[in-house]
Amino acid sequence: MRSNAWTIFRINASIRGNKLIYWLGRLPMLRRLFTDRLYAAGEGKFALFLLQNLWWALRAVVGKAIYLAALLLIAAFLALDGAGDTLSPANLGPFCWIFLWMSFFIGTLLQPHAVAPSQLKYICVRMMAMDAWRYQMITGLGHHLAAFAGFTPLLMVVTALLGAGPWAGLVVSLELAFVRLAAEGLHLFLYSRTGVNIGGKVWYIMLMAVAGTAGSAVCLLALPQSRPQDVLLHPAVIAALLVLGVLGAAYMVRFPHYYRLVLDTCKAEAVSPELAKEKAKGSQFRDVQLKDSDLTAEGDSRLTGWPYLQALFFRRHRRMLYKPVKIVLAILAGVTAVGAALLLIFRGEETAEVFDLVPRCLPYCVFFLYFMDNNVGTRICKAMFYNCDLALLKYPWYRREDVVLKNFLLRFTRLGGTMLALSGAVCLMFTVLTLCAGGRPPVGEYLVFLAAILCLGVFFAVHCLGMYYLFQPYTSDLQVKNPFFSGINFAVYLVCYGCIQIKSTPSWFALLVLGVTVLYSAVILALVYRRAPRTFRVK
Amino acid sequence: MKLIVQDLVKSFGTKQVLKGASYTFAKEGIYGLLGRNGAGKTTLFNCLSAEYPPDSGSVTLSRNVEDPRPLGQGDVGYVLSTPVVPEFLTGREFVKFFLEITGDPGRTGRTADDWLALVGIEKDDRDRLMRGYSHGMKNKVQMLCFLIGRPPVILLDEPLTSFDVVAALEMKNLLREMKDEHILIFSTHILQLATDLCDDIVVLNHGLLEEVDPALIHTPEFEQRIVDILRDGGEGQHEE
Repeated sequence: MRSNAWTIFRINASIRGNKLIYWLGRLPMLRRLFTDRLYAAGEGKFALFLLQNLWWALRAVVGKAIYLAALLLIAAFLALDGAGDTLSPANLGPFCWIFLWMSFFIGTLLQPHAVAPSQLKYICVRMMAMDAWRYQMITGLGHHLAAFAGFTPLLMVVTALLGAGPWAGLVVSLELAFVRLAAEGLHLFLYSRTGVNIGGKVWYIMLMAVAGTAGSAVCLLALPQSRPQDVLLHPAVIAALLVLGVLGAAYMVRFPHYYRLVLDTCKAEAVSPELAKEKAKGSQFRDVQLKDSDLTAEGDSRLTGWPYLQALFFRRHRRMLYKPVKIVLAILAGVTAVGAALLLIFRGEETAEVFDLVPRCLPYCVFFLYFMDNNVGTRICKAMFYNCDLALLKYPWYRREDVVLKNFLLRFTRLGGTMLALSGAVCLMFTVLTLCAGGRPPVGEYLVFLAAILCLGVFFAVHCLGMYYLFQPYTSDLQVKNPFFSGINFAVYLVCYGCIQIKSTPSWFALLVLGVTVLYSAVILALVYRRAPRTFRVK
Repeated sequence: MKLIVQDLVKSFGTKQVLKGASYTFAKEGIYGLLGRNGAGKTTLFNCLSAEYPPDSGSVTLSRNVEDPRPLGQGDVGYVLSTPVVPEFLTGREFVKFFLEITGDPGRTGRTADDWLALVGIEKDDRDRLMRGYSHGMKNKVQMLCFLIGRPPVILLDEPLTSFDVVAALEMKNLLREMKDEHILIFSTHILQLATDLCDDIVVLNHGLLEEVDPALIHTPEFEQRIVDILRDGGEGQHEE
């Protein structure tokens, strides 16, 4: 048993040490220090592992402290008598209710150790043929002792501060440990009966989380004057939890199917980050993958060369590219129809006055168009990359400067047309609603407002396609790896979000939008022409 | 035509993969590039095709002795071991499009069907989307791009390993037909294939290029000579 424990400890040290060296080696400042040679330095890795464990232990204690502090604050907020004083003894009751549901119920039932998959378990039991029972006993003991050791001093401090004395904290921590063991036994029992690890099911996790939160809310609201601490510290309850804990522990020790459990729960994709990433690719690609039915569309026989290629691409991707556009257009049409009907029914001076000020809602339009156009544009760019550019960029003739720019223009025409259609629909909606409401906004101001909306369409087309060509941020598994791409997109989001914070829209805001969109589009287009032939590559 | 590789150096992190590789591919023909796993063959190809820029060194192309010039974008065709083709197109559509952008019909008079027939893609398959093509069929389409585009230098990374025997023979014949006008460099682990197809053999060992005496290629000592050179290099020098 001792040699197994030592083996597990050393393997864990290697796994964590290697991961740490790998990540430290990717930091610009430490790249020279943490080179590949360090993987061979067994003792060095062991020292790193010890340091890392110290850090994790510290982090775990700090995490638990933050968790308990948060519960204390919630309890203080909810306590009838103790509001305002976080450490009032009156808060002990609400604190115990919340702690009971969060830690005794949700925590223990959602984090069973015995049935959880882990890379260490996979390596030790499946790859190194270690006895599964021994592995479980050694790691289970370590896991539960660490949890008990982490919570006990903090709970003792909390209960002492709330006036119940430190021993109350010790008793509660012991009870929590018993409940953990009982929950482990329960999960193993359910597995032996059903052959399923329900701990990994989303519905179970959701159910437990909702039940735990609802339970604590009901107890706090329905039993505001109750003293759960009296129940928790009652000898009969302590004895009952002790018995449950012993039964759970006994079940764990006698459980005969650990190896089967490891085979069922520790699949390679559940423990290997690379394989998990592979599995996750499916969802990553869902938005851009073609269906056979998409591919039946014929090309336009009048076209040749690059226009022929791009026309075929857009034609065969029309489902994925235009579905969100159709949804947005349908929503806009619905809003226009319903709004127009209501305005015609309730038409009066008030509606007319409101719609006189339509140009003032431009800041909201900026954010709305960002949300709508960015979604459509990003989707189209991803589909272009995954289904077309990822393959063709491997060919030198596709990377030629004139070809890159020619294709950019062809695509910009398509994307710009789509965005303009969306902006046009928004303009139409406002015009119809304004007419139905009897609004009479100043003509000049209204025309600038419409022009700004149309310009925003072009702006987002330039932004999405320009960013794609300037940074080509996608890897072959559609991950975004370029920090500049993410940074600029975030900045554009912040600016658009900032617009809706404008409380009183100045009349020159539309001119500002018009000017900024034209200027930004011109800058991006110029940058694309200068830089895209060099930057448009597969990373 | 000459392809002159001079003092090519490429490192990944602390690992130097190419350590000043130099070699002159002195005339049109088929050159076999041999090297152990991890020797850096793919890295060399990536540097030649400008996929990765080398850390130092130069690669120049010379039509005659006086005018060596750096390799340009259209000078190198790179046939990847895992072929990539735009899967949303049919074979015929792709070849039609490629002929149009290269202006080939006016040059050779061959249609898309003629080209597809040349590499043995059956009529029934020509109007199927390439996403349903086998590895070998995609490889043939990829090869077609270079047959049509005619870059002076064509790099082939393990090009025949995924082909069945019939397709492999067709492809070998195709390469033999092309060799008079191109410098074809192909990497392979299969010695018999190298001796069967290549005019010259170059070995990549310790990050350097080394020529094997062409007179040895068809002799019984050839295999032993290659093994002796490669044994000296050690395995797994670089993970490609």
